Amino acid sequence: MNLSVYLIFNAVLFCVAILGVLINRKNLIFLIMCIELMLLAVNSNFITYARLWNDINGQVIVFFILAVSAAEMAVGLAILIKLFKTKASIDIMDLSVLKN
Amino acid sequence: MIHINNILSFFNLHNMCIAMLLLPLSSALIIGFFGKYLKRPIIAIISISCIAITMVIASYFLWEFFIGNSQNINTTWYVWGTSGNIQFKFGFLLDKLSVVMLTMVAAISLVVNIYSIGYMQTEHNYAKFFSYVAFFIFAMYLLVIANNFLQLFVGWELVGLASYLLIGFWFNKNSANQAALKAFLINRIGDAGLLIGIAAIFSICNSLDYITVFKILPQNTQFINLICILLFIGIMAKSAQIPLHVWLPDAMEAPTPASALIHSATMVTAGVFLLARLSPVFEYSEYCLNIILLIGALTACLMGILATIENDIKRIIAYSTISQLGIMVAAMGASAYVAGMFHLITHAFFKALLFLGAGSIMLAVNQIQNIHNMPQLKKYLPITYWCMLIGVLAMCGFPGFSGFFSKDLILNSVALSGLPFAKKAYYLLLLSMFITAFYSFRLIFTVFHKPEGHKPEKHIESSRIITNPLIILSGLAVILGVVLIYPVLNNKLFGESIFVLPTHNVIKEYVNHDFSGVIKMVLYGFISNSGLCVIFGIISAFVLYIKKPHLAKILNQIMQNDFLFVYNFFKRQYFFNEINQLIIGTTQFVSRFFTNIIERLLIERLLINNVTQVVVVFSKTIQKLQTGYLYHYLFLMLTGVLIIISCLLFNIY
Repeated sequence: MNLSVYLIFNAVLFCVAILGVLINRKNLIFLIMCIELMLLAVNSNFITYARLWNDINGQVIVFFILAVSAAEMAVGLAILIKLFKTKASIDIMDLSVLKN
Repeated sequence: MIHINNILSFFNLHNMCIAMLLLPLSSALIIGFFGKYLKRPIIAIISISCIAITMVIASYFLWEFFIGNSQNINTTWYVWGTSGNIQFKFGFLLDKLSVVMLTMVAAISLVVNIYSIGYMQTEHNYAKFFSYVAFFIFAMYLLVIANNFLQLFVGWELVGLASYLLIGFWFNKNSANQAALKAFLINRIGDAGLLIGIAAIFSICNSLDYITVFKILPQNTQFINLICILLFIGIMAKSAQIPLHVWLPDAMEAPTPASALIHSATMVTAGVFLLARLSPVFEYSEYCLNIILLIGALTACLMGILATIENDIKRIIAYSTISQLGIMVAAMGASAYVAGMFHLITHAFFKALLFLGAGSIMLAVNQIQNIHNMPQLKKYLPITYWCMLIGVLAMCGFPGFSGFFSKDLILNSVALSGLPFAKKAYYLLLLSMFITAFYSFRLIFTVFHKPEGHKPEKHIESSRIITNPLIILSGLAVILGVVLIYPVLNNKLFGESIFVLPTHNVIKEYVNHDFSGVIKMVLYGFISNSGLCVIFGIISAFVLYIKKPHLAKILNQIMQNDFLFVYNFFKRQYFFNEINQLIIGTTQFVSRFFTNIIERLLIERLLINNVTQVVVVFSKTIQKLQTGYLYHYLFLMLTGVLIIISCLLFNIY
């Protein structure tokens, strides 16, 4: 098994997610998706090393992360829906109200 | 049951001292606060009776000390402050010196108060004047009767305050306000010296009581010179010695009775009194005595010269006061404390007489003060004329009058003194004798004897309430010298309260070698150096102002045309005011430099404002990082992580 292929894949996935956050300045859903993608990249990284060292703990942690991210997404999407109802927009620029 | 003895024992010397202080104070307070509601005669009665009672008390003291052989009294009235184990006390020291001084102050105050009733008749602020004068008398008693330096200083400041208030009495006159301020400020310089001196005494002796200080201080040979100089600075300001004399001529803005009481007879002699009081200290500082002698003699001579060219009658007498004070101070410098005090007493009476006489003249000529503008007054003011003549004869030391004895004694003491400056001082004093005689008779001849010009409208002799004090004072000015000369020479008058080292005892030397009875002294006065100076002074005044009046004018012309600088030198009073102006200007320049450059620019703008500015600018810059956009923060985080990772990778720490 070629380890570096997996690791590079994970790193690319992570960078794509970060670039998504950096470049996307409008859509809140994109933002949430990018964060999710980051978590997935990390998960994939865990699995890679779990397989490499034959350690089951790495795979267990992936399940934890999935559960936590699912809970987090539930809260995040609920806030998003509520926001859309009150503001009628999911534009990030419209939401930065605390500044000034 | 109240026993008669209880009542009698209430009238002890201690309680009398308290009464002596409280009577003028209460009179000042009553008249000051309720003067508006009181009628003028009542104000006069309150004021006069309070002073009269203190006069009676002072005479009783005199009786106790000179006939009853009372012991010195040194008691504490109350303690008004405790700091650690140091107590600040108010107390009384009654010895021959303070008793004589108290009696003199009381007598002059009484006479001046009676005179003021007549003089201030037309004055609007009648009550205020009497209140201030009573307050002054209280402060003067406080100063004289003190048994410690702190109380002395309190009295010293309070007489200064009273002087300030009375100089600025006519407060809507700008010159009066200026003069009051000048007097106050120049006295501050002296007070600073006195206060530092007292503080130094306190740090050395750990006590402020005279008796303790006199015991401890002479042993400290290291600092005694410094302390004496500091104390003398205070004395120079109060007793108007060069170069701190400039306030006294301007102080003539005060009402004339106040000038007579404060600025000639009593307050300005407080410095001389202090010198005598502190004789056990000054005696051990020959260095300082030398300076005192020289400054006194210089003042006596230089200020006398100014009196010869002054035209304002009150200012002439003011300059003569400074000159006489210089003579007293010179006597103190020559260790002839007794002679100096003797001159202080005789001077108080004849100078009060001269001032009150000048007031009487000013009343008659409608407040003209320039002697050349006055009409010929001899015919119209006979009583004033004779009184003034006696005063002037006493002042210039004409043999037989009171001033003669004291001045002759001082001159002889200075001649016998062994100090390095004694010879110079002696000639300066001789010159001042001549000058005194010259300007006093210039005053008399110009005011009373000038050729009759225009007919005066209504110059009448002043009322009896004004002339009677003059007559009393002129009587004293004649006899006081003869009466006091023996007690002074036998050291009966001041006894143990004045201390002279045996090597300095010029009075004793004089008595042992030169003195041979009063009559011989008077007769010898006509042919001695001083007597010849006086007679020559009178003759030259007579020639210049009576026989050949045009000669004075020609002299004046020559001076103005050919010796303009010399003329200005005298006319502008040796440029002392200009020098002071220069000092003030320099100080103002320096202080302006400090406010503008150091304070405003350096400290306020650069240090204080700049710190806030830097913080503001810095935080404004930092603020820009806090954009509130997620991707900015993320970017920063990434950059940071990248930097850390690259550091780890390439081993850059």
